[in-house]
Amino acid sequence: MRVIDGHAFLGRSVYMEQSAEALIAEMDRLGVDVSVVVAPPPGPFYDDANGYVMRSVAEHPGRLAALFRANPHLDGQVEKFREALGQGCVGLQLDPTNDGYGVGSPRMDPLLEAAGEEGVPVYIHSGDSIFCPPEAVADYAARCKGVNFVTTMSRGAPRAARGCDNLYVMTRPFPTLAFQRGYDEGFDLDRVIFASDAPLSSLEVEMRAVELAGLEDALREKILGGNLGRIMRV
Amino acid sequence: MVVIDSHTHFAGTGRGLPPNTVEDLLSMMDGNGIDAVITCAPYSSIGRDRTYDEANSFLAESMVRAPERIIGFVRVNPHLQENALRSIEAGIREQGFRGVKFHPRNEAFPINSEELAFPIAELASKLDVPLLIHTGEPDTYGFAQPTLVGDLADSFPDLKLMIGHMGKRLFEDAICVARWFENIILDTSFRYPRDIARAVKRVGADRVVYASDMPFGVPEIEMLKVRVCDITPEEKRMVLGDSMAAILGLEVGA
Repeated sequence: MRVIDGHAFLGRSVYMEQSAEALIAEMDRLGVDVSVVVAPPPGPFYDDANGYVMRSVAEHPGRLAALFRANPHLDGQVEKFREALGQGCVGLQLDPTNDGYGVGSPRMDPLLEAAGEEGVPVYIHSGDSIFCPPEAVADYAARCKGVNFVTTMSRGAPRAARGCDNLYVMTRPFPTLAFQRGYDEGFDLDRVIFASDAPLSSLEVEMRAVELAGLEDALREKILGGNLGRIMRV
Repeated sequence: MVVIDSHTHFAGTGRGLPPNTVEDLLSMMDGNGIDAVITCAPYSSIGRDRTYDEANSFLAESMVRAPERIIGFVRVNPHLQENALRSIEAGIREQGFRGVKFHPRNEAFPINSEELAFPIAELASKLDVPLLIHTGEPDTYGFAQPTLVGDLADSFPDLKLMIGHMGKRLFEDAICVARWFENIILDTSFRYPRDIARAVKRVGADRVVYASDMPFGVPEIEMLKVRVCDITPEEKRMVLGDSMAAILGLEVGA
């Protein structure tokens, strides 16, 4: 079984710090094959942070996969995103909370078009501000059927994603009662992606949380990597 | 090492939440290496009369079965002030409860309501027992923010106030208010290892206590967060049990 951490932060900001070397060491200790990594918030400018992520991915081929963090308020983001894709970037990260725009803003559209053309998924942070309730992400995903979306687990996320087959939900914080309720209500676990959000949370804690969720082996394997592998070139 | 889970819920069979029996609860504790739980009624056990009388009685009976391991906090609905004060008085003086719990979101009142919360805090202070308060993100009316606990801490300096869930995403607010008032204690439930480490660094391990909020949280996961976080072994020992034992004057696992 190949284990993929679907979302971790790499680099330094006022919120957090994690080097590639530290992350790789933790992955080796815990048996994680690949981590999808992204520059940490807050912005507003991510050029240096994206650069560190891309260099780290190049230095650790096969172990790290990069998301390009874009701020739709800034000019030239689509061009920079396409450049990153040319260097092996595997997806786009948008963060309405930290960059200050509502999900569904027309500012997002050019980046979404580029992601759709390149066939890479779009991560949208959700659940903790008026900018990005999970229901708004689901609405946006329903409008952009050609793109796969990945969003944060929250109380409302499983319900929002239930009727939206191009919207995937990350595990953290898994397993919550909200998640279990979503599970009970028939939420599609083929669209759940293991993600640690390390170093905000801990890779070890989040992996153990999945182990304790009482899932069948086949389903656990999907959540720990198989589901993400279907929509991302990792 | 003594392990005390400082915030759990136990309602017994028929409330839709495990564990269903005292035996199930003790088995879960044994399986997780937990010496004692601080437990109170969940919201699902509120009666049709909007009191927790029946649930508190169930808990009192449960405590008798394992008095050193099941430590009950009386849960009250501050809107029913007379019932709440009577429940606290009887619970502490006659039924073996060791603290009080109220929930500003579920019962819909501001933590610092002079009309609803202050009389309860005053009685808990007089009886010298802690008051555990659910805290978290602001709702429509701003009932449950952790900073509001500061109002109680200021007015009742001898009262030990436990900020449940460390304010959830408002954990920085919870840490701030705990720095301002030394009678505030932070419970770790649902926070992440780095947040727990930050709380210990800023407030001190003597006022940060491990909690799972079981059955809403998973004890093993919440405990693992403490075990992997970047604090010293001595601080982990304090957070996992010694600090709560000292706060309540318990001799657990002796």
